[in-house]
Amino acid sequence: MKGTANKNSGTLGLIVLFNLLGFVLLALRSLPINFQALRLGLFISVIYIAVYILMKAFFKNCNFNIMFMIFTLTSISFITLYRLNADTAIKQVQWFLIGILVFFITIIFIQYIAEKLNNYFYILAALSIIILFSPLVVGVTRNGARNWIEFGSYTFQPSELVKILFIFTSASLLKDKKSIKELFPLMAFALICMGILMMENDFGMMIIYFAIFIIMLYIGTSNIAYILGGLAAAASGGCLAYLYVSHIKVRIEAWLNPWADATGKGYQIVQSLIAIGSGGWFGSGVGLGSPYVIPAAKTDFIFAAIAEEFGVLMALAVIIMYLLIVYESMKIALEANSAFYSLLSAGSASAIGLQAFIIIGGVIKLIPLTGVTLPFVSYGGSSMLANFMIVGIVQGVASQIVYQESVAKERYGESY
Amino acid sequence: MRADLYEITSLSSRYIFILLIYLILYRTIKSIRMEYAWAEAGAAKISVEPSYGIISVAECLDGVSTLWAGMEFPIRKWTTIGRSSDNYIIIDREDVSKQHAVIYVDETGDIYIKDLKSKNGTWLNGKRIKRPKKVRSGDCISIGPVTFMVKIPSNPKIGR
Amino acid sequence: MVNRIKKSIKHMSIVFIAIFLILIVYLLYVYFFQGYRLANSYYNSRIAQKTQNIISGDIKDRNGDILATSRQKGEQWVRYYPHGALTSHVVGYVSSKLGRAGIESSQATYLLGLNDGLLEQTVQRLVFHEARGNNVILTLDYRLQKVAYDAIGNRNGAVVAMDPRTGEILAMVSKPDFNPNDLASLIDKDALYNKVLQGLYPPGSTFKVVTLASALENIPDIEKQVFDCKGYLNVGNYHLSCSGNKAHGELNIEQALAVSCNTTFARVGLQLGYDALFKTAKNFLFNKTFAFDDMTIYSSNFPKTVVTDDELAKDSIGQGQVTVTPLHMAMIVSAIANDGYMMQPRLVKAIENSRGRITKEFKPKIYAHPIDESTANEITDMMVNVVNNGTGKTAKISGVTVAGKTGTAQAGGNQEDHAWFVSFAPASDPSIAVAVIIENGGTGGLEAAPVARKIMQKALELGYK
Repeated sequence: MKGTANKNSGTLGLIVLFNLLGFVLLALRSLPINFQALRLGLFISVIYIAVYILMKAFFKNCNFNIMFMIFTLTSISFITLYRLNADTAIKQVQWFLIGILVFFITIIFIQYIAEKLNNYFYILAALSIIILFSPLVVGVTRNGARNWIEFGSYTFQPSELVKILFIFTSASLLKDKKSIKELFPLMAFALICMGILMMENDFGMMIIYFAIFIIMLYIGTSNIAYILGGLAAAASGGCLAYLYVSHIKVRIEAWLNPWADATGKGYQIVQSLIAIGSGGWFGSGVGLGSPYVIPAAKTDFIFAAIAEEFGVLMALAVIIMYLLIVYESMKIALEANSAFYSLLSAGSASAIGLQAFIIIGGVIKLIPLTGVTLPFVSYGGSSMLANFMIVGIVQGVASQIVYQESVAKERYGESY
Repeated sequence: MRADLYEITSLSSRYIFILLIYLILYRTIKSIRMEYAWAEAGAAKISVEPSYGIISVAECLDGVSTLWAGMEFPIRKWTTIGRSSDNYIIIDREDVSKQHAVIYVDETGDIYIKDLKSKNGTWLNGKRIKRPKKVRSGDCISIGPVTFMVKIPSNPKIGR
Repeated sequence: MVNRIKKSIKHMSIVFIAIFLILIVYLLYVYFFQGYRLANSYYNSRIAQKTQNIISGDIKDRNGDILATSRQKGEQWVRYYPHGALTSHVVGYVSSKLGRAGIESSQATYLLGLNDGLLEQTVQRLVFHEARGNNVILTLDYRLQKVAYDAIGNRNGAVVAMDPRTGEILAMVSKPDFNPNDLASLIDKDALYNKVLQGLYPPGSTFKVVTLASALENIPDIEKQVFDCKGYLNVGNYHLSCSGNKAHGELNIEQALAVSCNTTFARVGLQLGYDALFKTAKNFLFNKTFAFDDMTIYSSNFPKTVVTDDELAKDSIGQGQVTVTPLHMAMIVSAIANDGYMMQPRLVKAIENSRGRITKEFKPKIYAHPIDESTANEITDMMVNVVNNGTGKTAKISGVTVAGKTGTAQAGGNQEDHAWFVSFAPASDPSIAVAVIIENGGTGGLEAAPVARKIMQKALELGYK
């Protein structure tokens, strides 16, 4: 529809403007002008436009709203990361490019191959478990969690990528309505994955896998007992963890009263809250704040860095963006052609939504801090790739939705 | 840029950033709501062409993503039904043929249902049809998992 | 596709919308209610950084007397405090080693102009070629502050004077003190502690005004009740006695307040019971964490769960587990003075920009309403009696009706008692309320009341009416 096209190019224009403004500012920050920043800003804007054109040409049935949200989020991320450390930003842009490639590959995969593979639950489950387990065998420990694998100078997190396999595997079992007995293999699979993550000390991921599992289970069976059971299990698990796992106890205490040990255990949360308070509604201004004081400002606490220099209003906007991504993905799940696609899309929506909620919640002290990444915004290659794959799945499902001809004609014009 | 000049520039830019972001959000939300409106309207009632009657979905079994009970379509001069996406009414089930049947209106204004050599047949009021059959108001047409009901108003609008 | 899957997806969408809304609301809550304090937090290194590039504004008293200013020392700007130790705790300090304290800390955002509007910042930088913060005008009156400082002399303790009608703090002294102009030679770190806001002491007999309030509200005709004081009272295993074991004989509650009879008030407390006394204490804001933008006050304590009788008896006379800050005591008598309305205590009166224009004024706010007007008036009358005929005679001012209450609080161990005195004047239309505590000073009437008298007298002289 002509109307939508105009709307889309207008929004894209605004995003490009936003991005350029940010990088122009970063360029002006030094004396003489930092041309690298200008070039980078221009380059990123060109990428956004290129991806948009590519998608309009070859994947026009995909959901552009989600793409715009991702462009905006990554733009904020690039500006903030560049302000913190130019090299980090450049690396992140590189990962972004690879992410785009992976994104398109995933869409094509969903369009042509995915359905052919969705009856091999056991093989998929085994594959997931093996990859998830690998860090325990050949991996390295970082930040107390043994869930990283090194490849030369690059480290990556298998658990981020296996998340996608997990969703895929679960969807392939749940797509045919099953009784509780038939679902045992899925529960066993989920439990094994969670167990491995626990052994790797990656409790944040474990919670996310668990939540995705429960949500997909509910959607697949419409049986609210699973949710109630899940909540009960989570509650008892949480209590046990608090009592027996020392560093979880530390996390919970730091969450309840970080000020009690503001220079020790509570340091991260205290500095995060202070940064948010120091920014004001409109922020202190790019380059005028002190986000580098925030611990882990490029990864876990990047949300606080954004709140400081861009303001609380911007931080709110970021939350709304994730909400819109989840909303649109759920809508796609509603309109999908089959139960399998529906489950894939809903599982993907949950993965992104939950991860964003958990890390933002931890950073503003709504819930205890867990070490997960903020999708598309936190610095990290595995995170970027995994999230692009997830969004690729959603777009892949979206591109295949069959509409009634009449509706389709209204929506896409006679060329449909 | 001089430090104090940069300060002023950055301070002023703050407001532009927020403005741009909320404009982007506003436009995106508007775009979502517009799509939502279309989805709700679905193919329920679209009367851009003169209609000879209405065919509504009386019953629809599980497994069809494109139709649900209660949907109504205007009967046009040539209304195709089938699995393929270039039909007017699409039923995406394996047991429905790609081009399954067609409802058409002849020069006298009578409405007919014709089976297009489908695998599992087209059923009118419980009987499988072999040749085009005239349909009257209240008739039930079954194709695969879907049962349609035909409603023809007493004074059909016949446009040119 | 199956309708039930559709429905479940819709449910999950609603769940996600809900949790994101919670995120939004909580973020707004944190910023709106805690943002100012977070920005000025002791742990915020941004403040120290800004101090390098921005000339901090002045801190002045309500009459314009400068209490803190910035002076150039070679290339750098340093803070100078004209009145030194006399205003040390209120005004605070700025130190690279010790950080910031007092008004220098809680109002750092204004003093450094951190939330100045864009126009203001532009004008300063481009027109005046400097970055200067705002001036903070305090409610303090230096003339009164000096009187309070001299009156307490070399003794340790705390003095605070406020206007009960507005909650404005006119004088605040904490001893021992320090010289903010020379922090390097500081020996006793304890001197940095502001005892007015953070010193927790047993209130002793000054708490009897709270017990009295509780009795007036909960026991009908308590004024007519006759008590028989034999000089001591046994409550369970606890032997409670009046000062000097003096037997006061038969007396009513008004007389008991005047002579500060422990046995009577212990009996009243037992008659009230834990619940009633706790409720009154709660109304007077015991156990409440005060979080104001211009000061941090430690919470006063009254036992939160039911206690045994002997403990209750001790609490009724302000001993036992009851502790209070001097400022809270001043707030309590201010409420009594102000027809039962406790105003929010204020240290900052207004903010003035670097060119002398007032940009923000802080208006008095009612903070709580612990007792009603008639109860307040009754207590006032009885407190006048304390000064006219009772233990508070040393606070009398000729020509003025003064209301007060002495306190001699046991400090535990072998220490001398703390000397307390709380008062306000003139009783009919109070314009000044004072709380004084002399640590290990002896008896309230002898040591603390004269200090309060000097302050009230000066205040009335200066025209606070």
